[in-house]
Amino acid sequence: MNLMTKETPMTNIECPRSVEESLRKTIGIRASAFVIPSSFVIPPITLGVAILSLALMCSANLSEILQFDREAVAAGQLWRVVTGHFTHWNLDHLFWDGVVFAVLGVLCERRQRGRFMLCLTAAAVLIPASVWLLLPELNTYRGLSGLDTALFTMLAGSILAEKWAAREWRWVTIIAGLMIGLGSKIAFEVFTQGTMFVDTVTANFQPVPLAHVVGALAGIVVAMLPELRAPAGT
Amino acid sequence: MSARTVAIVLGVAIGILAGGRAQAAGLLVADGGFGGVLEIKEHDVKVVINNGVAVTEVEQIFQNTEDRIVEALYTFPVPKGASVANFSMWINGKEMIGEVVEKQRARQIYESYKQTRRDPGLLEQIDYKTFEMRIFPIGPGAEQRIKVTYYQELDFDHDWATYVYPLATVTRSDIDQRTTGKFALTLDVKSEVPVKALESSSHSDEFVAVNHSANYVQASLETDGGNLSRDLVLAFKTVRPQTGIDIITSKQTDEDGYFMLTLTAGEELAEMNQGMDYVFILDVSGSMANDGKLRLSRNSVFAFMDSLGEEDRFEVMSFNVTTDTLFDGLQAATGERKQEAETFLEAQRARGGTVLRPAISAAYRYQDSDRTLNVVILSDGMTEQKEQRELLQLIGERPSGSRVFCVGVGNDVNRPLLQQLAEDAGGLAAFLSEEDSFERQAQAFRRKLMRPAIRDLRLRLTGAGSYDIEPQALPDLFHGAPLRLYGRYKGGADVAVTIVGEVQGSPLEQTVAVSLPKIDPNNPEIERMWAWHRVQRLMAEARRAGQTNKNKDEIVRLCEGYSIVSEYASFIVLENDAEYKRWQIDRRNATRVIRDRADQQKVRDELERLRQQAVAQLGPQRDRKEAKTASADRAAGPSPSTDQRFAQRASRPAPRNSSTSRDISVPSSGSGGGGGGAIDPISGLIALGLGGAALASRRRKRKNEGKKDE
Repeated sequence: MNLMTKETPMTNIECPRSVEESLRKTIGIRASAFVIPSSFVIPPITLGVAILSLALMCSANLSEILQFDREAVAAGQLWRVVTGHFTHWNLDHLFWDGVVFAVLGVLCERRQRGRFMLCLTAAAVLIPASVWLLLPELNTYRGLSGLDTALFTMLAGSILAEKWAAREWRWVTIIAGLMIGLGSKIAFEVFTQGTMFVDTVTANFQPVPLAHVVGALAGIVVAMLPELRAPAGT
Repeated sequence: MSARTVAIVLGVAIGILAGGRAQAAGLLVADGGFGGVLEIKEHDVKVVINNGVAVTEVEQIFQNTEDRIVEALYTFPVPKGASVANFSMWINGKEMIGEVVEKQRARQIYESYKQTRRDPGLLEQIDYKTFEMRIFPIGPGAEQRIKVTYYQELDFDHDWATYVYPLATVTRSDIDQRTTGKFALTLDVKSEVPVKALESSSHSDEFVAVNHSANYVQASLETDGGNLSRDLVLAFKTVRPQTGIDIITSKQTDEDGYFMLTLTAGEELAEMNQGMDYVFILDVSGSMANDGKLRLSRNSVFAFMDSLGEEDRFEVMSFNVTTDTLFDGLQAATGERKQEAETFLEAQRARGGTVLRPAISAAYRYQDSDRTLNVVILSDGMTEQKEQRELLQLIGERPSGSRVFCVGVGNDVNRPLLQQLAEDAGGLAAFLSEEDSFERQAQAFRRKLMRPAIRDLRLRLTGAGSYDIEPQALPDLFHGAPLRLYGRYKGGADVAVTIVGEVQGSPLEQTVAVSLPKIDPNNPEIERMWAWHRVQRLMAEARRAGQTNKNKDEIVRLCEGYSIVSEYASFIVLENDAEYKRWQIDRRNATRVIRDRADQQKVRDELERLRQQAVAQLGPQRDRKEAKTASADRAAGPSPSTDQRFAQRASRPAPRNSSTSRDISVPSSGSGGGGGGAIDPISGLIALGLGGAALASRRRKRKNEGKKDE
């Protein structure tokens, strides 16, 4: 793994096979004294979603066009089903949603890209579908948090299964504790229809605990699926 | 009574009880069977508007130009929503300040003087606000000087506050509305919310306006002779960039304080995009034939319709004793439909009595469950008395999602009824005068309907011993129309103001802390306004209950204590202090007037100081940049507009009143109403904990794998 120490003339850079490879090469060329560990490179899907969410926060009009909107979806604007997750009501709403997505996204994408993509896709579709069916009074929906919850349960479920199989009980306890913590928080949301520590009144949106429930279930189901393909990046 | 001025100030109730036409007033006429000619020698009006509360002091000198004794009839229409706070007249060269006493007692005193031909002055109010004052005798060539002070809250429409000095409301054909003497009006505007513009739609050429600072503006008009038959209308615009509250206080050392809290919707509230439904109900009863009220109403509806978009739907109705509809269904506000409506309205003629109830009942049937219905009533409110209670009951039974807006037309409108109808219906009342710019009013009204209101609004004050808050129930907050809350407080202390409501379906709850002072002599006018609101509320309760004597004792106590003329208390002016003593009438009003005048003089002195400061900045001290701007403005035209003059002084420091201002974060319509998941810090930390655990696990795994490889 000492490829990065090689100096390559800039004029001879070959077309990179992936963004990851490109980043490695570029950084390696410009700062040949540093070795950039592969684990430091942000996986492209996570990076893309994070940048998109941030960019949409800067454009109220684009957010309006991309948010989940019941009437618009019924009128055929189906992209809103997926893109609604990347829009947010305000910066406060985006902050924790984005931070958690970035951390969990990097870990999940690097750990099992196929499972990661399946989890995202399933949650991205199932959450708006459940909102459509079960919350008919809710016209619009925004936010990454449902996907965050899906990634959390998928990652936790995967690690838990792994540690259970390896009989590493200390790890099992830690991961199970974290899962119980998140489960309790979701239960609180479901029963109170509110959120802890998030001022949704000032932020002016209605909390949707259903999104977290559906996201969590989607993540667990994906985590329980048999191995899809060789994990990426490992 | 020889050579003595005897005044009879007689308040005249306007005959809405009989459905009659309002005997509104103009200026001065020789009357009472004696004939004669009277002239107004001076007519001086001083207006101070303190955060939307206007105090108007009218001082007039009349002269008998004949060589014989005449009796004068002074007619004066106190404008909409005003409360007469003082009446003085000069007897034997000395100002005699009137006192408010319980109505029956005042009448008894008055009658006792009449029997001995020594007439006191008496001002009564039986229903609402037009009164006549008889002055007799005015000797040959003699002068009579009088002073009337009244308080009113100004109507705000889309940030524009309109002040009307009513001169046009004349129903007596023999009143000479020309003055041979001086007419002067000065207006001082103090506002915590910066004043952005000031204009007069009625006398734009005659007025000179200048803003000495962002929070203090002055306008004046002076003329020698001329026609005073037009209402004098001044409007100023205040803009609050962000939704918030402004509090001003009045606190003497020896009694509990008073506060006025103003809640204003800020610019950050965006317009709602979805269309709404409108039913315009036009009063075409006989009373609307007076003073061009039908024409004014018709033009107002045209202006309303013009401002509708095609996403809106509308219907037009007219009513007198029967109700007539145009479409029998809501129609999209297209050009063609608007044209049909104009034709329909043009064909209307004012005749018959006024029965409003069937029209409102019919309008309610236009309610669609998924759209907001706005019922806009244009009327002078001269409905049958027996119908008023039924109307209030009907308003209370309106379908959800509907609001009733009342537009009072003309100066002699039944303001209390229209105001109460609108307030009870979650809407609001606006009042149009002949000289108003009804296009602007209509557009402002339309914008107000479009703006997101804070619904189910409640304000809680905790701390500082606040009590007796008026009004007890707040209406919705509309954009451009601030809400005012009055109350008392026990001592100077911090107070927490909590605003609770609903903005476009989302809850709003926010608390801000303000500090109320231990002494504040700057705003005495809010004391009377607090009492006036309390009186209005008590009288409204009595109207709802249909019991005229309900709350009477409390109303009389407040009226006597704060010098408020009402249906239960009248102003009486006696000849000298000894007469007041004889009748055991406390000189409460005189004491208050003297105290208020002293306080107001201090305020005027402060304003004068500011004026001097502003003047000192003119001339050679101006820097090049200012001079360049001024010259550019001059180059732009021979007569710079008020706005330009305002702009030139925009940068001047704003003197602060004794107030407290706080902003409130009201969610804007562009970012709300929907749902979303939210990761809170706890969930975030749990997730980050999982991330850390995953990394640690992975590192440990690699380490173990490395050991195995070795």
